[in-house]
Amino acid sequence: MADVAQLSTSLRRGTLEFCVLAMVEHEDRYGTEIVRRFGEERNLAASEGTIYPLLSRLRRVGWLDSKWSESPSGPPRRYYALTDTGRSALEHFRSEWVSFRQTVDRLVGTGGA
Amino acid sequence: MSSNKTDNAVAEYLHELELRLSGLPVLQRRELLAEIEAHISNERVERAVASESDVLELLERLGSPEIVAAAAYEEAGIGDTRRQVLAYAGATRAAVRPLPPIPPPPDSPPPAYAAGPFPPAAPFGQSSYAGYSPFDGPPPVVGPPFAPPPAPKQESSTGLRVVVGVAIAAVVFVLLGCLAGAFMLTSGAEVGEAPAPVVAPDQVQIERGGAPARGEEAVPPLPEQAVPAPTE
Repeated sequence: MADVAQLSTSLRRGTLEFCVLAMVEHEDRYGTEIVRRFGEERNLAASEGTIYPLLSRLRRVGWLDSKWSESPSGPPRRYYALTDTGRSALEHFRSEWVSFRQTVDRLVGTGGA
Repeated sequence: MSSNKTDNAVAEYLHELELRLSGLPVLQRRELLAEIEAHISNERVERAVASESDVLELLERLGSPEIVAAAAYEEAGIGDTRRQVLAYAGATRAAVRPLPPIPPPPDSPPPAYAAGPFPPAAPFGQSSYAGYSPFDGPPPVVGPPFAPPPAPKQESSTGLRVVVGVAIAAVVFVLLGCLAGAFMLTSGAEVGEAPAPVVAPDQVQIERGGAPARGEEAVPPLPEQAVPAPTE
């Protein structure tokens, strides 16, 4: 009995973290940069401040690494990088996601043409 | 003047966030506060956020301290408050109804993330991980009155007690019911059925003088004679 208003929250849960991993897959990014990027996505829009606890967890489970570095303009920045386990978690998600999406599309009838 | 005001708004925001995070392990709390503070500074410098309304909008985008703190607790595996509220509601319903469906134990499941398939690898250089223990539940908090996790925690444990009490009462009730049923069955058999076969042959034999009961005669009179027998 998921409330309709809860739908996007539920969909975000469990997928948003892999969007974060993908965001730092090819280059390290600092927190504010990641948060801004998410702010541009309407469907993912959440309160920006909730991304930081997510980053914290991903770092604690060892999927992300982080290091502080000086910034030319403002305060020090904390840069996040994908670890090896994070990389394999992302790969695993990608294959799972494709089959998951296909199944849902088939059952819900959103496969399209 | 304006800069003072905006600084105040930021300081107030950070202060309230800190109060609400008091249930987190200290290093996680410090880490998050440092990040949020850096975020605000970054935005102010890099996006030239200066006016009071711009700063308020920046804070608005971050989300209220309440929202950010709730996310922090959830990601830390400490008291998903929504889940606890639901569990508490379930326990309250259970206390009102006599035979409730047992709600899930409020204390057990941390959010799926925390229990995830990955090992909680703990690279030791990462300081804020050191004090982190995801499954311990919220540490005892002496902190400010509106820190979220202690209150629901207490509520859910009283809820648990109520559920256990109701469950025990239900078991006792069912046992008593079984006993009473068994008692009624045995006593019912003594009164209603047992005498019939015992008394009837005697009377048949007395009346017929020990004559061998033939099938067609002995059986039909049996009920007629057996029924008045116990009443005499």
